[in-house]
Amino acid sequence: MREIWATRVGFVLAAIGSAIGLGNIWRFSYLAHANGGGAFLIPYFVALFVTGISLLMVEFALGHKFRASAPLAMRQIGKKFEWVGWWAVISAFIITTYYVVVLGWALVYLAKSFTLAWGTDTKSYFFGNVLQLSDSPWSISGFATEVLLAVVIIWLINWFVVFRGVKRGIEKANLVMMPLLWFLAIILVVRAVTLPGALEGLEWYLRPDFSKLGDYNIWMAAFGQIFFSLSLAMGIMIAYGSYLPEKSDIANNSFIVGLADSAFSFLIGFAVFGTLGYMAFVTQTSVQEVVAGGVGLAFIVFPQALNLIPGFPQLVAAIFFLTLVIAGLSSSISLVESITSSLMDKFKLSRTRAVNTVFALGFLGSLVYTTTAGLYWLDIIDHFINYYGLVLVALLEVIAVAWFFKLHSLREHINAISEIKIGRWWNWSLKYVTVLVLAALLLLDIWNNLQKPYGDYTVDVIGTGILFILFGMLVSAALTLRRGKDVA
Amino acid sequence: MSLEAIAFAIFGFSVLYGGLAYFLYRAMKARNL
Repeated sequence: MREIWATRVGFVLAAIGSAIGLGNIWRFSYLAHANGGGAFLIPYFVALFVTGISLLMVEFALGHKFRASAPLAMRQIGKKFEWVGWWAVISAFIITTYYVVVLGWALVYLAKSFTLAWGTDTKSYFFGNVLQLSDSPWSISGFATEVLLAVVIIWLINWFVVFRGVKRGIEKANLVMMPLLWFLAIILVVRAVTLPGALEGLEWYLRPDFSKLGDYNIWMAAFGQIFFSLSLAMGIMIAYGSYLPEKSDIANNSFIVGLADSAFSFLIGFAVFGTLGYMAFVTQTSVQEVVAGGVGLAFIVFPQALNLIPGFPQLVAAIFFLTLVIAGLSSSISLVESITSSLMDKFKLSRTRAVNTVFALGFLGSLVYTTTAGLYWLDIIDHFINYYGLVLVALLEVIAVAWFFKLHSLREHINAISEIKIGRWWNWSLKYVTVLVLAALLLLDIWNNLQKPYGDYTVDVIGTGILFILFGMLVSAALTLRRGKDVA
Repeated sequence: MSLEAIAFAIFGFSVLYGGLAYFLYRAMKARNL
């Protein structure tokens, strides 16, 4: 008997928790700033409503209609598509192995917040003290001990929540984590926007530059951000959809999840740019000079800004890193569940055996990223898995559903149980717009890599990254060919 | 903060939080939340 969510609120919060991750905090606002400020919202909203929410509906509906996780749901579309489902799940597995390490860094910083242990040279502290980064990807001289310990803790939390199951584990955890996450975000925003110089920071976040709207790169950035933020093409939303009760409003749930994910990104941008504005004000520099995105924002620039916060900076620092940890945990739990449910479905494993397998293999995989060369490999694998895992999977998934399956029957399935009825626009969006956008994202990355190797890494390092991805694809093929129990 | 930036702050909040409120209202109206 398949587990189901106890409440609709529980499902919606779990799906929102999966979608809201580290990228909402450190990527969205930076991307908006770099791509036209407020004007970026226009392609961003087009991407959200045209492809993001449409794809969410597809994944929820696939899980709900076929009552299966990604591989077996894709198998129902066509036997040859089971591989796509497994590649989504293997991609999720690879992402989990390094995502928990980034969460480990955030946990280390959370512990260090109470003394602002990073001091004034936050760059040296991050690369030297925390990561103990070596000078090349091939130079590995042991583990970064604090990171390793933090990764053990993060993996144990993931194991515990997923081991307890859908209702007692994932749903309950998100019922606590999601309200807490929004509460912490609001505290950070209020603190940031009431600091001197904050409004200048917000000016850099939101001042529109309409001339950029003519640049296709801005549109690609907007579609990419929506796509990567919604936890699509990793088997997560299919697995979560498969636990929905028979009567479930898939259309409305998709709108709520998609909008909440973007609403959180937009809100936390005020905390990020308000704080950066304050930092520029105190240090008498321009916001442009202090702005950063990604890992650099969270672990180098923000600690510098937090040092300058008046009153009790330790508390604000702890709230910021706790926000990162919670946002990341709700996502990593969903990643682990996607893999666990796929193993349970295909091989009829018990939840305990499946989650133990994911935990053991996943922890072993994470070890690479906790070494002194971990950051290099994390950067390379993250880049390649994003495009040749997620974008490729999404493209094949949409082609399978929209071109090799009766798409109208999936729309009828959604409309039969949803209060809001979706029109033919959905078919058009999936068949043409989404396919074109995903193909463009993939081709653009291939083109860029051919022009210049990613990250200026040497050919042997890039080659190792690509071989790793190919190995993942082969494992997916092996899992597809392996006979499951009671699989038609 | 310039008027343009304020306008886009309002625009962003209206679309995202207005939209979210609307779909939550629809869910509650259907007594299915």
